[in-house]
Amino acid sequence: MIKLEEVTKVYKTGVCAVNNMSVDIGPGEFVYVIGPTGAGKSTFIKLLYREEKATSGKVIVAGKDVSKIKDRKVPYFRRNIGIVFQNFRLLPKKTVFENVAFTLEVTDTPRSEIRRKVRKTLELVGLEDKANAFPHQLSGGQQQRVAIARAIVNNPKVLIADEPTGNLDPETSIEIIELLETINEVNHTTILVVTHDKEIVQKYKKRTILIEDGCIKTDTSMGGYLHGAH
Amino acid sequence: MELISCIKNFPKHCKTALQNIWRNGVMSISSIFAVMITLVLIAVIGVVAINIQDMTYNIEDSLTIYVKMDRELSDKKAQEKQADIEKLAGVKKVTFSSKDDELNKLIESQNEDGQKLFETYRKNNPLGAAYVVEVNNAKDLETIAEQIRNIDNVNEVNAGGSSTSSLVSTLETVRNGGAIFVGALTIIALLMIANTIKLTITSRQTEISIMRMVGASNWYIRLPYMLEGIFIGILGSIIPIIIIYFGYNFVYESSAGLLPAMLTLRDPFPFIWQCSGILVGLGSGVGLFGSFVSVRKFLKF
Ligand SMILES: Nc1ncnc2c1ncn2[C@@H]1O[C@H](COP(=O)(O)OP(=O)(O)OP(=O)(O)O)[C@@H](O)[C@H]1O
Ligand SMILES: [Mg+2]
Repeated sequence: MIKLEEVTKVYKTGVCAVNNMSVDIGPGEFVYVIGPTGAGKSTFIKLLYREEKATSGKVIVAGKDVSKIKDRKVPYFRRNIGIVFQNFRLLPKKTVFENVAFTLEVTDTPRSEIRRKVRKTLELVGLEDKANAFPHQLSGGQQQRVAIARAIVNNPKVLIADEPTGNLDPETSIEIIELLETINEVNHTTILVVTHDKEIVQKYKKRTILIEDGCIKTDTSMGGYLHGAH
Repeated sequence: MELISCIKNFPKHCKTALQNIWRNGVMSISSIFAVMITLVLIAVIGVVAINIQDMTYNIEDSLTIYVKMDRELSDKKAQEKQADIEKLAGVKKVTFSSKDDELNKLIESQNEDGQKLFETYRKNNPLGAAYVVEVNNAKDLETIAEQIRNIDNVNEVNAGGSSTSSLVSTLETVRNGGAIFVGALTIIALLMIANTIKLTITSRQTEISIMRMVGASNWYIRLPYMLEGIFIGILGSIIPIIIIYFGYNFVYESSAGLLPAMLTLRDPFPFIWQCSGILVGLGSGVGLFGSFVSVRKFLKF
Protein backbone atom coordinates (compact mmCIF):
# COMPACT_ATOMS: atom_id res chain seq x y z
CA MET A 1 0.00 0.00 0.00
CA ILE A 2 2.88 2.34 0.89
CA LYS A 3 6.31 1.78 -0.52
CA LEU A 4 9.44 3.91 -0.33
CA GLU A 5 12.50 3.02 -2.36
CA GLU A 6 15.71 4.80 -1.38
CA VAL A 7 13.91 8.06 -0.84
CA THR A 8 15.83 11.21 0.03
CA LYS A 9 14.35 14.59 0.78
CA VAL A 10 16.55 17.65 0.93
CA TYR A 11 14.77 20.93 1.67
CA LYS A 12 15.69 24.11 -0.15
CA THR A 13 17.49 25.19 3.00
CA GLY A 14 19.87 22.26 2.57
CA VAL A 15 18.43 20.25 5.46
CA CYS A 16 18.34 16.56 4.63
CA ALA A 17 15.15 15.53 6.42
CA VAL A 18 14.77 12.05 4.93
CA ASN A 19 17.89 10.17 3.99
CA ASN A 20 17.82 7.17 1.67
CA MET A 21 14.79 5.61 3.31
CA SER A 22 13.17 2.38 2.16
CA VAL A 23 10.08 0.89 3.72
CA ASP A 24 7.12 -1.26 2.74
CA ILE A 25 3.72 -1.10 4.45
CA GLY A 26 1.05 -3.55 3.36
CA PRO A 27 -2.71 -3.01 3.07
CA GLY A 28 -4.63 -3.02 6.34
CA GLU A 29 -1.52 -2.54 8.48
CA PHE A 30 -1.45 -0.34 11.57
CA VAL A 31 1.93 1.33 11.98
CA TYR A 32 3.36 3.72 14.53
CA VAL A 33 6.08 6.12 13.50
CA ILE A 34 8.19 7.44 16.36
CA GLY A 35 11.42 9.32 16.79
CA PRO A 36 12.97 12.40 18.37
CA THR A 37 11.92 15.86 17.32
CA GLY A 38 13.40 16.96 14.03
CA ALA A 39 14.00 13.36 12.97
CA GLY A 40 11.99 13.74 9.78
CA LYS A 41 8.72 12.05 10.73
CA SER A 42 6.48 14.81 9.42
CA THR A 43 8.58 15.07 6.27
CA PHE A 44 8.21 11.32 5.74
CA ILE A 45 4.44 11.73 5.98
CA LYS A 46 4.33 14.80 3.76
CA LEU A 47 6.05 12.78 1.06
CA LEU A 48 3.18 10.31 1.20
CA TYR A 49 0.40 12.81 0.48
CA ARG A 50 2.57 14.91 -1.80
CA GLU A 51 2.79 18.00 0.32
CA GLU A 52 6.50 17.65 -0.42
CA LYS A 53 8.21 16.03 -3.39
CA ALA A 54 11.03 13.56 -2.88
CA THR A 55 14.42 14.81 -4.05
CA SER A 56 15.30 11.31 -5.22
CA GLY A 57 13.89 7.81 -4.93
CA LYS A 58 10.43 6.47 -5.45
CA VAL A 59 7.32 6.93 -3.31
CA ILE A 60 4.37 4.70 -4.11
CA VAL A 61 1.06 5.17 -2.32
CA ALA A 62 -2.13 3.28 -3.16
CA GLY A 63 -0.54 2.04 -6.36
CA LYS A 64 0.49 5.49 -7.59
CA ASP A 65 3.98 6.84 -8.09
CA VAL A 66 3.52 9.99 -6.08
CA SER A 67 6.30 12.06 -7.63
CA LYS A 68 4.85 11.45 -11.09
CA ILE A 69 1.44 12.92 -10.28
CA LYS A 70 0.86 16.23 -12.06
CA ASP A 71 0.17 19.23 -9.84
CA ARG A 72 -3.31 19.51 -11.25
CA LYS A 73 -4.08 15.89 -10.34
CA VAL A 74 -2.89 16.14 -6.75
CA PRO A 75 -6.40 16.86 -5.39
CA TYR A 76 -7.73 13.70 -6.99
CA PHE A 77 -4.85 11.69 -5.56
CA ARG A 78 -5.53 13.10 -2.10
CA ARG A 79 -8.98 11.57 -2.16
CA ASN A 80 -7.31 8.20 -1.58
CA ILE A 81 -5.74 9.41 1.63
CA GLY A 82 -7.25 10.56 4.90
CA ILE A 83 -5.13 13.00 6.87
CA VAL A 84 -5.39 13.93 10.54
CA PHE A 85 -3.28 16.55 12.30
CA GLN A 86 -2.41 17.48 15.84
CA ASN A 87 -4.32 20.75 15.52
CA PHE A 88 -7.51 19.19 14.07
CA ARG A 89 -7.78 21.72 11.21
CA LEU A 90 -11.55 21.87 11.06
CA LEU A 91 -13.36 24.55 9.09
CA PRO A 92 -14.45 26.86 11.92
CA LYS A 93 -17.43 28.30 10.08
CA LYS A 94 -18.92 24.93 9.22
CA THR A 95 -20.86 22.61 11.48
CA VAL A 96 -19.63 19.15 12.37
CA PHE A 97 -21.89 17.66 9.74
CA GLU A 98 -20.71 20.13 7.09
CA ASN A 99 -17.07 19.54 7.99
CA VAL A 100 -17.41 15.81 7.51
CA ALA A 101 -19.62 16.20 4.45
CA PHE A 102 -17.08 18.48 2.83
CA THR A 103 -14.83 15.56 1.91
CA LEU A 104 -17.71 14.01 0.00
CA GLU A 105 -18.96 17.22 -1.56
CA VAL A 106 -15.70 17.88 -3.34
CA THR A 107 -15.98 14.47 -4.98
CA ASP A 108 -19.49 15.18 -6.30
CA THR A 109 -21.19 12.57 -4.15
CA PRO A 110 -25.02 12.68 -4.42
CA ARG A 111 -26.66 14.47 -1.55
CA SER A 112 -28.62 11.51 -0.17
CA GLU A 113 -25.49 9.44 -0.09
CA ILE A 114 -23.60 12.22 1.65
CA ARG A 115 -26.20 12.30 4.39
CA ARG A 116 -26.13 8.55 4.84
CA LYS A 117 -22.35 8.26 4.88
CA VAL A 118 -21.84 11.21 7.22
CA ARG A 119 -24.41 9.81 9.68
CA LYS A 120 -22.74 6.43 9.63
CA THR A 121 -19.28 7.89 10.14
CA LEU A 122 -20.38 10.21 12.93
CA GLU A 123 -21.87 7.17 14.61
CA LEU A 124 -18.60 5.31 14.25
CA VAL A 125 -16.66 8.11 15.96
CA GLY A 126 -19.41 8.56 18.56
CA LEU A 127 -20.58 12.06 17.66
CA GLU A 128 -24.01 11.45 16.16
CA ASP A 129 -25.57 13.93 18.61
CA LYS A 130 -23.11 16.76 17.74
CA ALA A 131 -23.85 16.99 14.04
CA ASN A 132 -25.08 20.58 14.20
CA ALA A 133 -22.48 21.92 16.61
CA PHE A 134 -19.68 24.19 15.44
CA PRO A 135 -16.06 23.14 16.15
CA HIS A 136 -15.51 25.79 18.83
CA GLN A 137 -18.37 24.27 20.81
CA LEU A 138 -16.55 20.94 21.13
CA SER A 139 -13.78 19.62 23.37
CA GLY A 140 -10.37 18.82 21.90
CA GLY A 141 -11.07 15.10 21.84
CA GLN A 142 -14.39 15.66 20.12
CA GLN A 143 -12.81 17.95 17.54
CA GLN A 144 -10.22 15.31 16.78
CA ARG A 145 -13.04 12.78 16.32
CA VAL A 146 -14.61 15.11 13.78
CA ALA A 147 -11.28 15.41 11.99
CA ILE A 148 -10.98 11.62 11.93
CA ALA A 149 -14.54 11.28 10.67
CA ARG A 150 -13.76 13.74 7.89
CA ALA A 151 -10.63 11.79 6.99
CA ILE A 152 -12.34 8.42 6.75
CA VAL A 153 -15.81 9.31 5.46
CA ASN A 154 -14.94 8.60 1.84
CA ASN A 155 -13.33 5.30 2.79
CA PRO A 156 -9.71 6.12 1.90
CA LYS A 157 -7.23 3.33 1.45
CA VAL A 158 -4.74 5.03 3.73
CA LEU A 159 -5.21 7.09 6.88
CA ILE A 160 -2.27 9.19 8.01
CA ALA A 161 -2.21 10.85 11.42
CA ASP A 162 0.60 13.24 12.42
CA GLU A 163 0.62 13.33 16.24
CA PRO A 164 -3.17 13.07 16.51
CA THR A 165 -2.99 13.02 20.30
CA GLY A 166 -0.41 15.78 20.68
CA ASN A 167 -2.95 18.29 21.98
CA LEU A 168 -4.98 15.89 24.11
CA ASP A 169 -4.78 14.65 27.68
CA PRO A 170 -3.70 11.00 28.22
CA GLU A 171 -7.21 9.68 28.73
CA THR A 172 -8.60 11.28 25.60
CA SER A 173 -5.50 10.18 23.72
CA ILE A 174 -6.25 6.59 24.52
CA GLU A 175 -9.81 7.01 23.30
CA ILE A 176 -8.56 8.43 20.01
CA ILE A 177 -6.03 5.63 19.53
CA GLU A 178 -8.71 3.06 20.26
CA LEU A 179 -10.95 4.76 17.71
CA LEU A 180 -8.17 4.50 15.12
CA GLU A 181 -7.79 0.81 15.94
CA THR A 182 -11.50 0.28 15.51
CA ILE A 183 -11.34 1.99 12.10
CA ASN A 184 -8.40 -0.23 11.17
CA GLU A 185 -10.40 -3.30 12.11
CA VAL A 186 -13.80 -2.27 10.73
CA ASN A 187 -12.73 -0.62 7.45
CA HIS A 188 -9.39 -2.41 6.96
CA THR A 189 -7.82 0.98 6.33
CA THR A 190 -4.04 1.15 6.31
CA ILE A 191 -3.17 3.46 9.19
CA LEU A 192 0.01 5.37 9.95
CA VAL A 193 0.24 7.18 13.27
CA VAL A 194 3.12 9.50 14.13
CA THR A 195 3.38 9.93 17.86
CA HIS A 196 5.59 11.07 20.70
CA ASP A 197 3.53 9.20 23.23
CA LYS A 198 5.67 6.33 24.54
CA GLU A 199 2.89 4.89 26.67
CA ILE A 200 0.63 4.44 23.72
CA VAL A 201 3.28 2.68 21.68
CA GLN A 202 4.10 0.41 24.61
CA LYS A 203 0.47 -0.35 25.35
CA TYR A 204 -0.85 -1.08 21.89
CA LYS A 205 1.74 -3.34 20.47
CA LYS A 206 1.80 -2.73 16.74
CA ARG A 207 4.43 -2.42 14.07
CA THR A 208 6.61 0.53 15.07
CA ILE A 209 9.04 2.41 12.87
CA LEU A 210 11.68 4.47 14.65
CA ILE A 211 13.09 7.32 12.60
CA GLU A 212 16.28 9.11 13.60
CA ASP A 213 18.16 11.66 11.53
CA GLY A 214 16.03 10.90 8.49
CA CYS A 215 16.78 7.18 8.56
CA ILE A 216 14.78 4.21 9.78
CA LYS A 217 16.67 3.13 12.85
CA THR A 218 14.46 0.19 13.77
CA ASP A 219 11.32 -1.37 12.37
CA THR A 220 9.74 -3.79 14.81
CA SER A 221 6.77 -5.79 13.81
CA MET A 222 5.45 -6.25 17.29
CA GLY A 223 5.66 -2.80 18.73
CA GLY A 224 7.11 -1.04 21.69
CA TYR A 225 10.36 0.84 21.94
CA LEU A 226 13.51 -1.13 21.44
CA HIS A 227 16.18 -0.79 24.06
CA GLY A 228 18.46 2.06 23.28
CA ALA A 229 15.82 4.28 21.77
CA HIS A 230 15.13 6.76 24.53
CA MET B 1 -14.17 17.03 -16.30
CA GLU B 2 -13.33 19.68 -13.75
CA LEU B 3 -15.31 22.18 -15.77
CA ILE B 4 -18.42 20.00 -15.82
CA SER B 5 -18.17 19.56 -12.08
CA CYS B 6 -17.89 23.33 -11.67
CA ILE B 7 -20.97 24.00 -13.76
CA LYS B 8 -22.96 21.28 -12.08
CA ASN B 9 -22.01 22.64 -8.67
CA PHE B 10 -22.62 26.25 -9.58
CA PRO B 11 -25.73 26.73 -7.44
CA LYS B 12 -23.94 25.09 -4.55
CA HIS B 13 -20.94 27.38 -5.01
CA CYS B 14 -23.25 30.39 -5.04
CA LYS B 15 -24.79 29.20 -1.82
CA THR B 16 -21.36 28.62 -0.29
CA ALA B 17 -20.28 32.11 -1.36
CA LEU B 18 -23.32 33.75 0.23
CA GLN B 19 -22.92 31.58 3.31
CA ASN B 20 -19.26 32.63 3.57
CA ILE B 21 -20.23 36.28 3.35
CA TRP B 22 -22.80 35.76 6.08
CA ARG B 23 -20.62 33.67 8.38
CA ASN B 24 -17.57 35.89 8.00
CA GLY B 25 -19.71 38.75 9.28
CA VAL B 26 -17.35 41.58 10.19
CA MET B 27 -14.81 40.72 7.51
CA SER B 28 -17.45 40.77 4.78
CA ILE B 29 -18.99 43.98 6.05
CA SER B 30 -15.63 45.70 6.08
CA SER B 31 -14.98 44.59 2.50
CA ILE B 32 -18.40 45.76 1.42
CA PHE B 33 -17.77 49.12 3.08
CA ALA B 34 -14.40 49.47 1.40
CA VAL B 35 -16.01 48.81 -1.95
CA MET B 36 -18.87 51.15 -1.13
CA ILE B 37 -16.75 54.09 -0.07
CA THR B 38 -14.37 53.83 -2.98
CA LEU B 39 -17.21 53.51 -5.44
CA VAL B 40 -19.00 56.54 -3.98
CA LEU B 41 -15.77 58.47 -4.38
CA ILE B 42 -15.26 57.31 -7.94
CA ALA B 43 -18.90 57.99 -8.79
CA VAL B 44 -19.06 61.52 -7.40
CA ILE B 45 -15.74 62.64 -8.80
CA GLY B 46 -16.37 60.88 -12.08
CA VAL B 47 -19.78 62.48 -12.54
CA VAL B 48 -18.41 65.92 -11.72
CA ALA B 49 -15.50 65.43 -14.10
CA ILE B 50 -17.73 64.24 -16.93
CA ASN B 51 -19.99 67.24 -16.55
CA ILE B 52 -17.11 69.66 -16.41
CA GLN B 53 -15.76 68.03 -19.52
CA ASP B 54 -19.13 68.48 -21.23
CA MET B 55 -19.13 72.14 -20.23
CA THR B 56 -15.66 72.79 -21.55
CA TYR B 57 -16.68 71.29 -24.87
CA ASN B 58 -19.83 73.40 -24.93
CA ILE B 59 -17.81 76.51 -24.27
CA GLU B 60 -15.37 75.65 -26.99
CA ASP B 61 -18.16 74.92 -29.42
CA SER B 62 -19.53 78.41 -28.83
CA LEU B 63 -16.21 79.92 -29.80
CA THR B 64 -16.38 81.00 -33.44
CA ILE B 65 -14.48 83.09 -35.92
CA TYR B 66 -16.28 86.20 -37.14
CA VAL B 67 -15.28 87.13 -40.68
CA LYS B 68 -16.28 90.54 -42.12
CA MET B 69 -16.10 90.87 -45.88
CA ASP B 70 -15.30 94.11 -47.74
CA ARG B 71 -18.22 96.57 -47.74
CA GLU B 72 -18.09 97.11 -51.44
CA LEU B 73 -18.60 93.43 -52.10
CA SER B 74 -22.14 92.50 -53.08
CA ASP B 75 -23.91 89.66 -51.24
CA LYS B 76 -23.63 87.51 -54.29
CA LYS B 77 -19.88 88.07 -54.71
CA ALA B 78 -19.30 87.60 -50.99
CA GLN B 79 -21.14 84.32 -50.98
CA GLU B 80 -18.75 82.98 -53.59
CA LYS B 81 -16.04 83.01 -50.93
CA GLN B 82 -17.86 80.49 -48.76
CA ALA B 83 -16.26 77.57 -50.59
CA ASP B 84 -12.78 79.05 -49.99
CA ILE B 85 -13.37 79.12 -46.28
CA GLU B 86 -15.03 75.73 -46.11
CA LYS B 87 -12.13 73.98 -47.75
CA LEU B 88 -9.71 75.07 -45.00
CA ALA B 89 -8.62 72.19 -42.78
CA GLY B 90 -10.35 72.07 -39.40
CA VAL B 91 -13.41 74.10 -40.39
CA LYS B 92 -16.63 72.54 -39.20
CA LYS B 93 -19.36 74.84 -40.39
CA VAL B 94 -19.58 78.16 -42.22
CA THR B 95 -22.70 80.28 -41.92
CA PHE B 96 -23.24 83.16 -44.30
CA SER B 97 -24.78 86.35 -43.08
CA SER B 98 -25.84 88.86 -45.78
CA LYS B 99 -25.53 92.65 -45.54
CA ASP B 100 -29.18 92.89 -44.46
CA ASP B 101 -28.76 90.17 -41.87
CA GLU B 102 -25.83 92.07 -40.43
CA LEU B 103 -27.82 95.27 -40.23
CA ASN B 104 -30.75 93.49 -38.60
CA LYS B 105 -28.40 92.04 -36.00
CA LEU B 106 -27.00 95.50 -35.33
CA ILE B 107 -30.42 97.06 -35.01
CA GLU B 108 -31.62 94.36 -32.68
CA SER B 109 -28.69 94.89 -30.38
CA GLN B 110 -29.47 98.62 -29.96
CA ASN B 111 -31.86 100.45 -27.68
CA GLU B 112 -34.85 102.30 -29.08
CA ASP B 113 -32.99 105.48 -30.08
CA GLY B 114 -30.22 103.52 -31.72
CA GLN B 115 -32.72 101.35 -33.52
CA LYS B 116 -34.29 104.44 -35.08
CA LEU B 117 -30.91 105.78 -36.02
CA PHE B 118 -29.69 102.63 -37.71
CA GLU B 119 -33.05 102.08 -39.41
CA THR B 120 -32.14 105.04 -41.60
CA TYR B 121 -29.22 103.09 -43.03
CA ARG B 122 -31.58 100.55 -44.56
CA LYS B 123 -31.47 102.15 -48.01
CA ASN B 124 -27.74 102.63 -48.10
CA ASN B 125 -26.30 99.77 -46.06
CA PRO B 126 -22.72 100.53 -45.06
CA LEU B 127 -22.09 97.07 -43.60
CA GLY B 128 -20.42 94.28 -45.42
CA ALA B 129 -21.57 90.66 -45.50
CA ALA B 130 -20.08 88.30 -42.92
CA TYR B 131 -19.36 84.70 -42.09
CA VAL B 132 -19.55 82.86 -38.82
CA VAL B 133 -17.02 80.03 -38.91
CA GLU B 134 -17.19 77.12 -36.49
CA VAL B 135 -14.11 74.98 -36.08
CA ASN B 136 -13.61 71.38 -35.07
CA ASN B 137 -10.99 72.10 -32.49
CA ALA B 138 -10.88 75.33 -30.55
CA LYS B 139 -7.10 75.13 -30.49
CA ASP B 140 -7.06 75.87 -34.22
CA LEU B 141 -9.05 79.11 -33.93
CA GLU B 142 -6.02 81.35 -34.42
CA THR B 143 -4.39 79.44 -37.28
CA ILE B 144 -7.64 79.20 -39.19
CA ALA B 145 -8.32 82.88 -38.61
CA GLU B 146 -4.88 83.64 -40.05
CA GLN B 147 -5.63 81.60 -43.14
CA ILE B 148 -8.95 83.35 -43.63
CA ARG B 149 -7.20 86.73 -43.43
CA ASN B 150 -5.24 85.75 -46.51
CA ILE B 151 -8.38 85.23 -48.58
CA ASP B 152 -9.19 88.09 -51.01
CA ASN B 153 -11.89 90.58 -50.08
CA VAL B 154 -11.79 89.67 -46.41
CA ASN B 155 -11.91 92.87 -44.42
CA GLU B 156 -11.64 91.78 -40.84
CA VAL B 157 -11.28 88.49 -38.97
CA ASN B 158 -12.04 88.18 -35.28
CA ALA B 159 -11.14 84.98 -33.41
CA GLY B 160 -11.50 86.49 -29.96
CA GLY B 161 -7.84 87.36 -29.58
CA SER B 162 -5.53 86.29 -26.78
CA SER B 163 -8.26 86.06 -24.13
CA THR B 164 -9.95 83.35 -26.15
CA SER B 165 -6.79 81.37 -26.74
CA SER B 166 -5.93 81.45 -23.05
CA LEU B 167 -9.48 80.33 -22.25
CA VAL B 168 -9.05 77.45 -24.67
CA SER B 169 -5.80 76.34 -23.10
CA THR B 170 -7.32 76.65 -19.62
CA LEU B 171 -10.24 74.47 -20.61
CA GLU B 172 -7.84 71.95 -22.05
CA THR B 173 -5.84 71.84 -18.83
CA VAL B 174 -9.04 71.37 -16.81
CA ARG B 175 -10.05 68.46 -19.00
CA ASN B 176 -6.71 66.69 -19.01
CA GLY B 177 -6.18 67.29 -15.31
CA GLY B 178 -9.65 65.93 -14.58
CA ALA B 179 -9.08 62.83 -16.66
CA ILE B 180 -5.74 62.10 -15.02
CA PHE B 181 -7.21 62.72 -11.58
CA VAL B 182 -10.17 60.41 -12.14
CA GLY B 183 -7.94 57.77 -13.69
CA ALA B 184 -5.47 57.83 -10.81
CA LEU B 185 -8.23 57.84 -8.24
CA THR B 186 -9.91 54.87 -9.88
CA ILE B 187 -6.70 52.87 -9.90
CA ILE B 188 -6.00 53.66 -6.25
CA ALA B 189 -9.56 52.82 -5.27
CA LEU B 190 -9.50 49.55 -7.15
CA LEU B 191 -6.21 48.56 -5.56
CA MET B 192 -7.78 49.33 -2.20
CA ILE B 193 -10.70 47.04 -2.89
CA ALA B 194 -8.45 44.29 -4.22
CA ASN B 195 -6.30 44.61 -1.12
CA THR B 196 -9.23 44.37 1.26
CA ILE B 197 -10.41 41.24 -0.47
CA LYS B 198 -6.90 39.86 -0.35
CA LEU B 199 -6.89 40.40 3.41
CA THR B 200 -10.15 38.54 3.88
CA ILE B 201 -8.85 35.65 1.84
CA THR B 202 -5.44 35.55 3.46
CA SER B 203 -7.23 35.24 6.78
CA ARG B 204 -8.68 32.05 5.39
CA GLN B 205 -5.46 30.46 4.31
CA THR B 206 -6.06 27.54 6.67
CA GLU B 207 -9.49 27.07 5.19
CA ILE B 208 -7.95 26.71 1.75
CA SER B 209 -5.27 24.32 2.97
CA ILE B 210 -7.99 22.19 4.59
CA MET B 211 -9.95 22.07 1.38
CA ARG B 212 -6.85 20.95 -0.41
CA MET B 213 -6.18 18.35 2.25
CA VAL B 214 -9.48 16.60 1.60
CA GLY B 215 -8.91 16.65 -2.13
CA ALA B 216 -10.86 19.64 -3.43
CA SER B 217 -9.73 20.56 -6.92
CA ASN B 218 -8.33 24.03 -7.53
CA TRP B 219 -11.44 25.29 -9.29
CA TYR B 220 -13.67 23.85 -6.62
CA ILE B 221 -11.81 25.95 -4.08
CA ARG B 222 -11.48 29.02 -6.25
CA LEU B 223 -15.00 29.40 -7.55
CA PRO B 224 -16.79 30.18 -4.27
CA TYR B 225 -14.15 32.80 -3.47
CA MET B 226 -14.55 34.37 -6.89
CA LEU B 227 -18.31 34.44 -6.53
CA GLU B 228 -17.89 35.88 -3.06
CA GLY B 229 -15.77 38.66 -4.56
CA ILE B 230 -18.44 39.36 -7.17
CA PHE B 231 -21.24 39.41 -4.59
CA ILE B 232 -19.27 41.73 -2.33
CA GLY B 233 -18.69 44.00 -5.31
CA ILE B 234 -22.39 44.03 -6.17
CA LEU B 235 -23.48 44.56 -2.57
CA GLY B 236 -20.94 47.35 -2.25
CA SER B 237 -22.22 49.12 -5.35
CA ILE B 238 -25.87 49.32 -4.23
CA ILE B 239 -25.49 52.36 -2.00
CA PRO B 240 -23.29 54.30 -4.43
CA ILE B 241 -25.92 53.72 -7.11
CA ILE B 242 -28.69 54.97 -4.84
CA ILE B 243 -26.60 58.02 -3.99
CA ILE B 244 -25.96 58.73 -7.66
CA TYR B 245 -29.59 58.21 -8.57
CA PHE B 246 -31.08 60.60 -6.05
CA GLY B 247 -28.08 62.89 -5.75
CA TYR B 248 -27.71 63.52 -9.46
CA ASN B 249 -31.41 63.97 -10.01
CA PHE B 250 -31.51 66.46 -7.17
CA VAL B 251 -28.52 68.44 -8.37
CA TYR B 252 -29.86 68.40 -11.93
CA GLU B 253 -33.28 69.66 -10.89
CA SER B 254 -31.96 72.38 -8.65
CA SER B 255 -29.42 73.58 -11.18
CA ALA B 256 -31.99 73.72 -13.98
CA GLY B 257 -32.80 77.41 -13.80
CA LEU B 258 -29.49 78.59 -12.42
CA LEU B 259 -26.93 77.68 -15.03
CA PRO B 260 -26.65 79.27 -18.47
CA ALA B 261 -27.47 76.99 -21.38
CA MET B 262 -23.83 76.48 -22.15
CA LEU B 263 -23.20 75.03 -18.70
CA THR B 264 -26.16 72.69 -18.29
CA LEU B 265 -25.60 69.26 -16.75
CA ARG B 266 -26.02 66.06 -18.70
CA ASP B 267 -29.54 64.71 -18.84
CA PRO B 268 -29.98 62.34 -15.87
CA PHE B 269 -31.18 59.49 -18.07
CA PRO B 270 -29.66 57.35 -19.43
CA PHE B 271 -26.59 58.91 -17.79
CA ILE B 272 -27.47 57.55 -14.34
CA TRP B 273 -28.00 54.04 -15.69
CA GLN B 274 -24.70 54.17 -17.52
CA CYS B 275 -22.94 55.22 -14.32
CA SER B 276 -24.71 52.48 -12.35
CA GLY B 277 -23.63 49.90 -14.87
CA ILE B 278 -20.05 51.06 -14.63
CA LEU B 279 -20.19 50.98 -10.82
CA VAL B 280 -21.58 47.43 -10.65
CA GLY B 281 -19.07 46.36 -13.27
CA LEU B 282 -16.15 47.95 -11.43
CA GLY B 283 -17.25 46.54 -8.07
CA SER B 284 -17.85 42.99 -9.18
CA GLY B 285 -14.97 42.97 -11.64
CA VAL B 286 -12.49 44.07 -9.03
CA GLY B 287 -14.04 41.66 -6.52
CA LEU B 288 -13.62 38.81 -8.96
CA PHE B 289 -10.12 39.82 -9.94
CA GLY B 290 -9.03 40.46 -6.35
CA SER B 291 -10.17 37.06 -5.12
CA PHE B 292 -8.84 35.22 -8.14
CA VAL B 293 -5.37 36.65 -7.64
CA SER B 294 -5.37 36.18 -3.87
CA VAL B 295 -6.56 32.58 -3.98
CA ARG B 296 -4.09 31.69 -6.67
CA LYS B 297 -1.26 32.28 -4.26
CA PHE B 298 -2.50 29.49 -1.99
CA LEU B 299 -3.22 26.97 -4.70
CA LYS B 300 0.33 26.15 -5.65
CA PHE B 301 1.35 22.56 -5.08
N1 LIG C 1 9.49 23.30 4.95
C1 LIG C 1 10.74 23.05 5.43
N2 LIG C 1 11.79 23.72 4.92
C2 LIG C 1 13.04 23.50 5.37
N3 LIG C 1 13.34 22.61 6.34
C3 LIG C 1 12.34 21.91 6.90
C4 LIG C 1 10.99 22.11 6.47
N4 LIG C 1 10.20 21.27 7.20
C5 LIG C 1 11.02 20.61 8.03
N5 LIG C 1 12.31 20.98 7.87
C6 LIG C 1 13.48 20.43 8.58
O1 LIG C 1 13.55 19.07 8.32
C7 LIG C 1 13.88 18.35 9.50
C8 LIG C 1 12.82 17.32 9.81
O2 LIG C 1 11.61 18.00 10.16
P1 LIG C 1 10.27 17.22 10.49
O3 LIG C 1 9.21 18.23 10.63
O4 LIG C 1 10.08 16.18 9.47
O5 LIG C 1 10.62 16.58 11.90
P2 LIG C 1 9.65 15.78 12.86
O6 LIG C 1 10.29 14.45 13.05
O7 LIG C 1 8.27 15.79 12.38
O8 LIG C 1 9.77 16.62 14.19
P3 LIG C 1 8.66 16.83 15.32
O9 LIG C 1 8.63 15.57 16.12
O10 LIG C 1 9.19 17.97 16.11
O11 LIG C 1 7.38 17.12 14.64
C9 LIG C 1 14.06 19.38 10.60
O12 LIG C 1 15.46 19.65 10.73
C10 LIG C 1 13.35 20.59 10.06
O13 LIG C 1 13.97 21.77 10.52
MG1 LIG D 1 6.34 16.65 13.04
